[in-house]
Amino acid sequence: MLKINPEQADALTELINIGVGKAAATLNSMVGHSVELNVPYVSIINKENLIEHFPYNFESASSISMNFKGNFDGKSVLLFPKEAANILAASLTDEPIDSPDIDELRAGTLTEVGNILINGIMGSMANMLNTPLHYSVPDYNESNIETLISLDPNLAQSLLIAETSFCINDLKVSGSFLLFFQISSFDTLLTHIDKALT
Amino acid sequence: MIHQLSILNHINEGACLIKIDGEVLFWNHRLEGWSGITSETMIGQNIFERFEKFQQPHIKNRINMLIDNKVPLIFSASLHQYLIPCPLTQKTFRFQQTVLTLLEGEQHILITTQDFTEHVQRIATQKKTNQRLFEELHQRETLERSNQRLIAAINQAAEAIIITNQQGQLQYANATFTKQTGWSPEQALELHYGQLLPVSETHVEQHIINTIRSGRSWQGRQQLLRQDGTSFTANVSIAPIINDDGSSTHTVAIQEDITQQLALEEQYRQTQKQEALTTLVGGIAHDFNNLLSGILGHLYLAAREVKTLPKTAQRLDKIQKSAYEAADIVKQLMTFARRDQMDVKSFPLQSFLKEISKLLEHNVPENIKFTLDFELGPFNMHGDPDHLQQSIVSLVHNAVEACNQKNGAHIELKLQHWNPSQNETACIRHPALKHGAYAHLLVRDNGSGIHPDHCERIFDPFFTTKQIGSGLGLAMVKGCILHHHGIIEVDSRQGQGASFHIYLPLQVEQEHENLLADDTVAVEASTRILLVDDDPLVRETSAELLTNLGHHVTTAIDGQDAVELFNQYSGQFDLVLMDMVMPRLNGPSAMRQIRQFDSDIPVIFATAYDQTVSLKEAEEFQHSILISKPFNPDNLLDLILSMRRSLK
Repeated sequence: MLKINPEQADALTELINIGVGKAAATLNSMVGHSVELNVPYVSIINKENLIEHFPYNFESASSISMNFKGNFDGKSVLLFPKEAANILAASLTDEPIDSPDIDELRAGTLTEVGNILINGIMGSMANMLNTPLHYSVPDYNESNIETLISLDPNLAQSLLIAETSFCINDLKVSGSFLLFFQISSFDTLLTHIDKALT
Repeated sequence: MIHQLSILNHINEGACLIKIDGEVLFWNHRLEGWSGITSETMIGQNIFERFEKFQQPHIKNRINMLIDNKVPLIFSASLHQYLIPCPLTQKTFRFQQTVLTLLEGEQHILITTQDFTEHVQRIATQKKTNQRLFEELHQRETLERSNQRLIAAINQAAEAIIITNQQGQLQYANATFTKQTGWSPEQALELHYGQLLPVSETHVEQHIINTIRSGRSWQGRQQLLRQDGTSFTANVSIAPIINDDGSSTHTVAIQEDITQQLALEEQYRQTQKQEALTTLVGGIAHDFNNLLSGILGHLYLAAREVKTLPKTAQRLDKIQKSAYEAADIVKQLMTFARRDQMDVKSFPLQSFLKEISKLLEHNVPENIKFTLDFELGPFNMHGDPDHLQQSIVSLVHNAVEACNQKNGAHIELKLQHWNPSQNETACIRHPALKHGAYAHLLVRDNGSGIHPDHCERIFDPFFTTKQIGSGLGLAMVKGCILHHHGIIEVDSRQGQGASFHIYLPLQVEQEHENLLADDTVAVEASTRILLVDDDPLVRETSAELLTNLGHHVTTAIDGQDAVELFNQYSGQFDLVLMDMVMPRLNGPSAMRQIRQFDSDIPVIFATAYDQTVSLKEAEEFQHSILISKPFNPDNLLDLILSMRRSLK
């Protein structure tokens, strides 16, 4: 499993927090609600341990993912329990939660939220590390965690995970930002971070 | 590049290509159709200036981020509705999700729009349908809850409620129906209403059916059958259930079991009858009493006068015995009518019963088993032991007679503390038993029992089934028990013996008095007596009697006369013998005035009425005593002397 030193961890947390801050500002101005975004900590975990990592059972998870390519390749994912995702989408559009299912409109809302957050984080990361990245169009999916992990066999065993929490007005919705890397790409990222730190 | 983009004219999404400064380079057919703006019009225009949404700061910022970060942008239909306005009507626009992608070379942005209008409309329709379904569901749940409440209320109703179809077949029966009749809910649904009616009542069924079919309701008192074949009386109300068309679909019947109510009504009637009988008997006995007082007084005097004529003396003696026998009958009648004299004392009932059981054992033949079963405890009683003894002896005597022809005959005398929880039906018949402490005395035999027709009459005076008997025994027993504020009832089946239940109120933690009789009083000197009685026969006889006994007697015809005489001859009387009930001024009122002249003058009140009523008034006076008429001359003499001695 990959290991990062404390300076690298601090730098990653800082990069992500900058991106999250931009995303929160965008969401605030867009939906007209008080939206707060927090990333309390960042950690590196093994892919196999991802299921155990979550204190709740993601049998049905909502995810917004964007693949990226460049000096380091991978996939960034914003992950929510489906129920939390439904609450988040309904809260942003001021709609009642009248159905447990997420229809295409709500999926669109969540995709945009994911797009803004991933945009903020990845954009900040790419800019700070001065390494251009190209992205796919965001994609919304509903599946369990196992399916999510098994999507791409080329993804490295380790991944970066940042817990995020959305506070919309008084409502708090928790999710996770996951950053999967293609094999060897994570080393490239750390190299870029080390360069930036020097 | 523009030539290559012409393929985008054939996709289902809107597409346009712009320079990063906003200049439109390509505008596909779908966008032309949706926006109503031709490609020729749009090409060359600045899309950021042309459409208002692009000028909103947060959209501008994100487009800048696209250029900086190269991360594609998505603008959802739910959060923005559209970026490029595509009118549906004059005021409404299509719902579209817009994606902006920075193309390679980073100089051009491809804008694609996906139309969600139909989807939004479908969701809106779905939401309306859902809302309607939700409201219907809510209404149905409310109705269901209301129905459940109604069913619970019907099930818990005290009356049986059944619903039948037009053919009389039961369609519904509540829980009370099961309790009332014994048929389970499943069995009830197999029943026809006619099966609830006894065979003798089937004519009623047709009458009920005719009434219901005419759209009217029927109410009445009806005999109904239980599952076990027994019947009960019910107040029945049957009504048709009319639907919206005005036609009758079902029938609802409400049945109230009134067996207990009827029993109470019968009990009330019996009580009324007893009271009327008591009043009648009491009145006759009182008049007889006064007459006997005269007869006995004169006989006493006549007997003293004819001491020299032995034959006449013998005849007078026989007349006197007959008169005393007549007085005994009158006394029994007075006991029945609760107008006799009660010598009330406190005593332990258990010890008392043990004492009289020795006497009873001698009166029960050896072939009859006689057992006693007395619960431990003093059973403090306040009453007349003599009267109670007479009553118990009478009941046991009747039991012996009922057991005479019986092998294995058994008579039981049982005493226990009454526990209301053990016999709730007795408490319903006699609510007084629910409260207070009672002794439950049971006289039970396994003899011939009582015919059902006789059960209601056995306590009536002069009712007897014996060839030799006055018919006053049980009447007297009942009078005695009632006089003790007790309850007596009989439980019997012919051939299976009889149980007489007596409930006597107990004193709570009061010391009982000694039962021993007073010492005999020695004869003392002559007494000056003011004798007051409005009945001339009683007055004159008593005066002559007392005079003959050596006393000095002054008579007064009523209370007013007595007051005047006492005032006139102040200090010349040792004792007043005063009738209780008199015209003008009654005994107690007259005595109050006399006591103003002499506060210590002893008084003997005499009454021919219920002593318990007079007792309250007599108790007001010190140095007083209450006696019943007719009085035994010897006893009266003892009483006068006793009162004088106690004053000294």
